[in-house]
Amino acid sequence: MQKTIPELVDSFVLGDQAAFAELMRRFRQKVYSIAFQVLGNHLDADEVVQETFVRIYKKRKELADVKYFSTFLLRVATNYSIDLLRRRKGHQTIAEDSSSLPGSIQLDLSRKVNTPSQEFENRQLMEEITRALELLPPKQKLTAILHDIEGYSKADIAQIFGCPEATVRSNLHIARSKLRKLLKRRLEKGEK
Amino acid sequence: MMTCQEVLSYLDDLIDDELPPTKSTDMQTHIAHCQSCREEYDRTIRLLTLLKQRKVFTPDETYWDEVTPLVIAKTVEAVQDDVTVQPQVQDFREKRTALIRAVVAAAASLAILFSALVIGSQQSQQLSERDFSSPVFATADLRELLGPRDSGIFTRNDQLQLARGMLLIGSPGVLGRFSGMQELITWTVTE
Repeated sequence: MQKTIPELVDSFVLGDQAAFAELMRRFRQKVYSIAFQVLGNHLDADEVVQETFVRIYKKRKELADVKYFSTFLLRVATNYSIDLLRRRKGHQTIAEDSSSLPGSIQLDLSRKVNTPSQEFENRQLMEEITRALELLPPKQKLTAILHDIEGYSKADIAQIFGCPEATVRSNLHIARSKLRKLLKRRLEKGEK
Repeated sequence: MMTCQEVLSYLDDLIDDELPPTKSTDMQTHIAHCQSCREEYDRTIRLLTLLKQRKVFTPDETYWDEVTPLVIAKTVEAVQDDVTVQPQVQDFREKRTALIRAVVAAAASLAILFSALVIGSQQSQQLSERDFSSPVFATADLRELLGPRDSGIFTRNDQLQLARGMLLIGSPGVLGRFSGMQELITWTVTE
């Protein structure tokens, strides 16, 4: 029978390597996905994945006092992603297009699109939205990614960031407003 | 009826389904009849749809087969670092704690000594006004307790000031009961 997350965490705290490996297997994709969304490239996402789980291992004693392992894990992952993003600022950070991604990583742009022209327009819009996301301050960017892409609630995000829910609402509102303005300009340009 | 400004300020909450039912209904009624708000609503929905389409990232198993052993190897290194660093850190902490305790104890002793000297030299007048005829002070002659000559550190005058200071800070209970207090106050060293 599959162990629950709390059971795995309890075993891990006591030094069970197999429990750590299982926790990594269950959460690695989530960490990778968020890191890729934030940093825009595979190498940085890979670094975040490795560093996050090593840090979790080093902090295993603290896990005994932690209520939700996923929140703790994502806090470590998002903090490291933000650090890496700030270090990379000033260096070129163009998000990869789908052709440069390894293995089976692909952007699923074809879902819910009916016509080739719509698909083309959506690709272009996606590139512009991606560029606009890159320009957002790290916390606003992460808030938009965690809420609008990864589907976390504002309460979850507040726990991950260790901030009030009102701050999350504010960051999300600002991020969406900026992206909406961009979309409006782009669509108006397209119509002309 | 809601204004356009109100609708725009609550638009995110409407889309996230976080509004009370009556407010949600009012907003939807406004949007149905206001072109600019409807366009803003539609743009937000399109934005969120596009963002959600970014979600699908799936590194294949070969990637994870390579990364997992790397992470495990790094955790082993991390444990080894803890083992070699820990005794050094512990030793340093113990020494630091002992040093801090010694410094605090020395500082406290100096502070008490200084206070006693200062109070004794400045407050002799107060002492002279006290009534030392009380039996509380009648069991021993403090002058006999003071050294017959200057000690290596304190002169006899210093010793007198110390004794006065201790009395003023309420230490008759500590010193015990003494006679000769009045003489002590007016006693000056003539040697």
